[in-house]
Amino acid sequence: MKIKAKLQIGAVLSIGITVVISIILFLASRQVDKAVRQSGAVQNIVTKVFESNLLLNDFLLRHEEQAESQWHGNHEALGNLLAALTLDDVEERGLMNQVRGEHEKTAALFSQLVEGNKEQRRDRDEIISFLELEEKVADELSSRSRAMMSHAAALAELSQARAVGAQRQGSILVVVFTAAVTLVLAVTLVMVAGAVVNPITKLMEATRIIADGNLEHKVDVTGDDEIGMLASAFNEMTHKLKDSYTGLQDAFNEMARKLRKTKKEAKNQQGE
Amino acid sequence: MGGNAVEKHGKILVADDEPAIVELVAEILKSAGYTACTASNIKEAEGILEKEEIVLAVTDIYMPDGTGLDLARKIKSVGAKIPVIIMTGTPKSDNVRQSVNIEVDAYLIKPVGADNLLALVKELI
Repeated sequence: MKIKAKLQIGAVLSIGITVVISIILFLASRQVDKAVRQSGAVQNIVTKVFESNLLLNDFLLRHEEQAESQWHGNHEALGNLLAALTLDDVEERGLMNQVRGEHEKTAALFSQLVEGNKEQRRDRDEIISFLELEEKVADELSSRSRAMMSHAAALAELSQARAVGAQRQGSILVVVFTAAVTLVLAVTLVMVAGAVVNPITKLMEATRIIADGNLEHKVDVTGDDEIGMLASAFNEMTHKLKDSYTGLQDAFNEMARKLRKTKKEAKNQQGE
Repeated sequence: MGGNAVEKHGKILVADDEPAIVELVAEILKSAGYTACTASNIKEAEGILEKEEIVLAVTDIYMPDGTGLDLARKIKSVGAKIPVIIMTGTPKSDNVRQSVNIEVDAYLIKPVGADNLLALVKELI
């Protein structure tokens, strides 16, 4: 394989791996973003659930309209947050559904509590009966509210762990693919160095030997790459140079031979 | 006594500043029964020419104190009948031209082959 082709393959391979890495890192970073976003949304839900619990306690203490309207506002905001959140993880979805279920039930219980407070009661029995009912409803509401808080906290914990996991996975991917690109580049460089440096060293050595006058020397470099072709051309050139030298030597000696013969003949003629 | 026998055992001057070449040429000549008188420079070669009965000179071109062409010119100018073989690793047109002018008897390009050298020696002595 030609050196140019080896370099081209190395370059294409590096570009290919870099593109794949970029895509994978892009997807990983999107996953991290999503996990962090979901974790943030779950934190907001936890805050709203906590606030809802505080407002419920406030209403149970004072039975004021302000606390009631704040509870409803908070309940609606919490409902919007719960509706907007989509989760991929099955466990998280399970917890989420539990929070949603508690959320719906608390709405019904709170309405029941508020309506009961608005009704007019005349005798003592009615009042006692109402207070007993209110206590029961309030207990259930508090219990549901605490359950909602507990589910939301568990959900927040899971969501945060998933975000951290996604970030860790992204970091591992960066390390693995950086190592892969480094390996491909190193292998390409070693291959090219082997294909170029060693034969060139042999060619340099051969040049020195031939320059010293040994025209019989042959460069021991094979292969169909550029260096192999250069070595072949070098050997051919040396062969032609040797032929040329031999030709020159033979021509000279033939001429000298003829000159000696001519001189000898002339001398013989003089002698006669 | 046959002429050939005397000539074959004649003394041949071998001048080259490279000991390996001198040794190689001397060995080739000795193997054919000749005596090799070796010199590593022009001065030594001239001394041998004065003292010994040299029948043929084989000389390199470039040596520390002059050139084999000067030595050949000197041999030819005194009218000596000593044939001269010039040896060189890198033939140059100027050296070839000078060799023709001096009427050098043979021109050998290194590496010198034993057969080639002995054939020329036999032809020239």
